[in-house]
Amino acid sequence: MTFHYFKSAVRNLWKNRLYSALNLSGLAIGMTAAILIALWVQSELRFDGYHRHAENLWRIKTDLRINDSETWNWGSTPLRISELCAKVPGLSVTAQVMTPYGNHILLRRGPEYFEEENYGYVSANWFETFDYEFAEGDARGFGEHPNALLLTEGLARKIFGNRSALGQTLHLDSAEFTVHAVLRDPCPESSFRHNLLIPTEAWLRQGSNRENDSNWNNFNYTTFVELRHGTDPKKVGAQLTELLREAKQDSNITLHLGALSDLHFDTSLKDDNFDKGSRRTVAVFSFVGLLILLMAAINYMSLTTARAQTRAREAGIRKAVGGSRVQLFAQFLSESAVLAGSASLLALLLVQMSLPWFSELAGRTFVLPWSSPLLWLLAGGVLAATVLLAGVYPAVLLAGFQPVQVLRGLGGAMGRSGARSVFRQSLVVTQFAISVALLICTIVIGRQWSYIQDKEMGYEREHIFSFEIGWQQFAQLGEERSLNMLKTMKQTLSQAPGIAGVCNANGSPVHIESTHSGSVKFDGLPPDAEPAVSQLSADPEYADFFSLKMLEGRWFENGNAADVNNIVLNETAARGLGLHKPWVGQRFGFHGRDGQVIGIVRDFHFLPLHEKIAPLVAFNAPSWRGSFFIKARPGQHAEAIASAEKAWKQWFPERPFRFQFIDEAYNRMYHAEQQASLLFSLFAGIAIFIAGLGLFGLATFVALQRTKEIGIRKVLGASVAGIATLLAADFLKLVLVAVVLAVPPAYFFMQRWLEDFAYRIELQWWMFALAGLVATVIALATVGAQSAKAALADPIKSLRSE
Amino acid sequence: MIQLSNIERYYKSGPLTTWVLRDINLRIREGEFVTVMGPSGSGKTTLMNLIGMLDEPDGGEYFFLNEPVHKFNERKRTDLHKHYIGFVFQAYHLIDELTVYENIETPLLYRGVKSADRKAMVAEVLDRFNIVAKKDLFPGQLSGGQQQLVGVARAIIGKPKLLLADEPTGNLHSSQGEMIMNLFAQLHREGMTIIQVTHNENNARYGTRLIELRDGFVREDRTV
Ligand SMILES: Nc1ncnc2c1ncn2[C@@H]1O[C@H](COP(=O)(O)OP(=O)(O)OP(=O)(O)O)[C@@H](O)[C@H]1O
Ligand SMILES: [Mg+2]
Repeated sequence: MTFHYFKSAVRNLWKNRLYSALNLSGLAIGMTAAILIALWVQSELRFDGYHRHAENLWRIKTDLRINDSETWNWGSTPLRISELCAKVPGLSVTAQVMTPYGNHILLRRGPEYFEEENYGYVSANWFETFDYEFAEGDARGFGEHPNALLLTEGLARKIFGNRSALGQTLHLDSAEFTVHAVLRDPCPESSFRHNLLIPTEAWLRQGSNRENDSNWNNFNYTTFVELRHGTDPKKVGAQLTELLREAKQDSNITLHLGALSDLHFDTSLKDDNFDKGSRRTVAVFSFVGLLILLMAAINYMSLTTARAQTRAREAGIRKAVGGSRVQLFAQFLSESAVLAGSASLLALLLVQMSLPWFSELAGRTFVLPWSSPLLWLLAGGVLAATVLLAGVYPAVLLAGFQPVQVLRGLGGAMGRSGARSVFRQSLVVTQFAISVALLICTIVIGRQWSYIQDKEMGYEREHIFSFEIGWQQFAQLGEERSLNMLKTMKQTLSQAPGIAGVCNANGSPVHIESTHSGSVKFDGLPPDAEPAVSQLSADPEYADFFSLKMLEGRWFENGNAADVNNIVLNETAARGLGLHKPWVGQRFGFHGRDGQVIGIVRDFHFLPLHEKIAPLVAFNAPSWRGSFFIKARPGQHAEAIASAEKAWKQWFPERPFRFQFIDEAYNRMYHAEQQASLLFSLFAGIAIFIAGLGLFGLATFVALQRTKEIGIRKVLGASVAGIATLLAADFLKLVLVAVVLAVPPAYFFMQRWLEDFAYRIELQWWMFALAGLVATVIALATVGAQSAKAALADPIKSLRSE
Repeated sequence: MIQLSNIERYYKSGPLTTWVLRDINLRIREGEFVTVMGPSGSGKTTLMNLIGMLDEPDGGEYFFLNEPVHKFNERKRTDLHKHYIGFVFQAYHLIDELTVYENIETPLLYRGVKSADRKAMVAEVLDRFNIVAKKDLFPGQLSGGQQQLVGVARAIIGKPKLLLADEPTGNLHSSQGEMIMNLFAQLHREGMTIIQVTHNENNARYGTRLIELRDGFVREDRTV
């Protein structure tokens, strides 16, 4: 019997190739999209979840109250927090990691230097707390050797080529280290991206590090604790806060614990550089994945029930010769199963083929875990859901026909024409409403991104690249030589070939991250107010270099001795801080220097557009400004870079020269979101495509079904245009209803989404109209062609064949 | 075998009620060969459908082998129908997607007959009806008469206790029609109960009893 079902299913599917192909491709594409989304969502949700102790691991976070209106949130703690942790009951392990501020680490192997950006100093118990996979050796004994280090395969290959790295020696400054083990490259679902791990002890015994880091005011260690089962993290946080207040004699600090699983999603912290995801994006994509599956299932249902009318006769006969309802149900369901099963296989194939491309798009490597039971569970689940969702209703419908009724040619439950069944109409409306809503979202998101792309930021960023001098290099040179280095470097650069301009500052206008509070003083500032401001240490060339516009007064001048103490504010600072007018000439104290406001610069966007422009204080005091900005002459980028490298090598011959163009930095700032919006458009497109497939199938079917009616109408004198309109009008009405239904939810969600941007577009009626128009055009194109074909057909022929 | 008491069947469309069968009282014993005649629209097909359990009466009682069919649910009715009744339709009603062979085989499948037995039974019937050569064709490739033959073959393959045939020879050449009637006569001799609908007086002669319907009433009921 089962074989019989299978055979007749295959034969039926083959006999109706067009429907089968439409159904199959709709389902397969839908499943492919859903599986890709599921892979991505799963990888986001499982971030850091692979550690054996993941569930009990927590990070200590610090809230530092700056003033009444401002609290800074850090993901780090003082080194000696571990001493306090030891006093808290329920806390079993404390592991710490620290990456010194600012620079890359320099490794030397023989005469060769290698730079690494992702590295960390970790406590001796790090590898007992967190799980790593080893390519060579293991972590046993790591804690006992301060001169041991671990690196990843990738870094090992860079340094040692194909030779085994295990046991080799490397130098950090003058100290000699042995490669203790080689780690596998960080897995995509890990927040820890370190390629090089060194014992904290190796750091502490350098210079005055131990003394510095033992200070309770230095918050530079990320601390993880393992809680014993049943310990309340809130209570531990409170206990730690109490202990720290005693030790540090400071009541402005509150400590609390954040789950390891939240590391990837916690964006509230100022200082944590872990790769961030967004729960909202995860939710949105899960939702879109479900919608796509739903669309595919709806396609299937509307096509199958439309065809049910032709199948009704078969169902009736089968019942009349003894088929029971259950047997018929099984037969029709097995058709769904065969189709959905083939679609699943096709989908797995498509997923496998599109993975490399999808990985690139999503910026993360995905593999289909063929051997993982989870994959098969997922695939099976999707399959079962589709069969149930899409197959049961048509099967019930078909199996339920009264044989006598259908054999008499009465549609029974089916009503009159294929398109007019209320059930099928609501399916089409649902499908198109979802498509239109997704279209609206795509349009709005696209507009917002081009708005960000085109927005006048208030500064120039073309042809400009920058390189940085790290604080270790400054420290090596000492204060006096550092200032000298900055001066000569600037001179050398400004005369070098290919270079149109140079300036030196602590940050580019693309993103000024440095903030400060506590030393701002001016007349009119309430005595206990400590406003937080963004700060920029810049040279006199900075304003012209980046084409910043002055609103009032002037920028710093070369050779003006008073400018050492003077400051320039941006417009937001002048207004927001409540500076007395006239702004220019007001006394202003900053970092202990007393000077005046010499100018107000027009606001420019030095923060991502999610954030409003903040008050900015620019000062000119000679200090360790780590960044050089270089404007290349048009067409001479290569020369300019070569010149900059030459200047760099004069001072730091052992360090590799690294630079970046600032518009790349700019683009990177929005990279994650741009990627998300790209993916969103892609999946929205898929959903709309699936809806189009379904509509096409339905239109074909209805045209076919109404051949007799059309034939009679034509014989009675109806025109081709009139008939095509008649057929298309049915569908267009549905699409219009769908547009009306789609607008309110789309409006609501897009309004919410835009609220995340401090600078954003307004929702306008044309965005909704355009989405409606596109949907209508798609509907017209698919339905229209079929209607025209039906209308043009020879009436005699179609009547005879009835 | 069959006991119909006060059977009624009507259709409602809006305020109008169209009576198709009224107050039908019939008793048909096992082994009878009944012919139902009557003008077009008199309710013959409707009566056959009711007896064949493809349709339900709006009133009255129907006992089949002493079982109260009118009280059964669909599943039980299908079960009875499947095991005891073969049906030949006025409009053939073959499944277009299946070959001749498969069409004939279908009732056996639903009855759960084993594959080897099925093969033997289908082969025998194909042979008897002289349509072995056509077994792999689809209904669309057959003439009307050939399709009717397949319909009859399908109805009798399961050796039903009761054969219901609604104008089985309507589209057949008279010699083919005769062949089918001879077959019916033989099946009748072997003990099968048969009810046939026909307009043809010659065919009626094969039966043992004649029922005439007119406007939904039994007008005449006599043995021949
Ligand atoms: N679904 C229905 N709705 C309304 N009336 C119906 C329906 N089905 C059958 N009838 C009516 O019932 C009456 C009897 O129909 P039936 O098919 O039983 O006639 P018949 O005796 O078999 O005729 P023929 O010899 O032409 O086959 C007809 O008048 C027909 O119009
Ligand atoms: Mg009839």
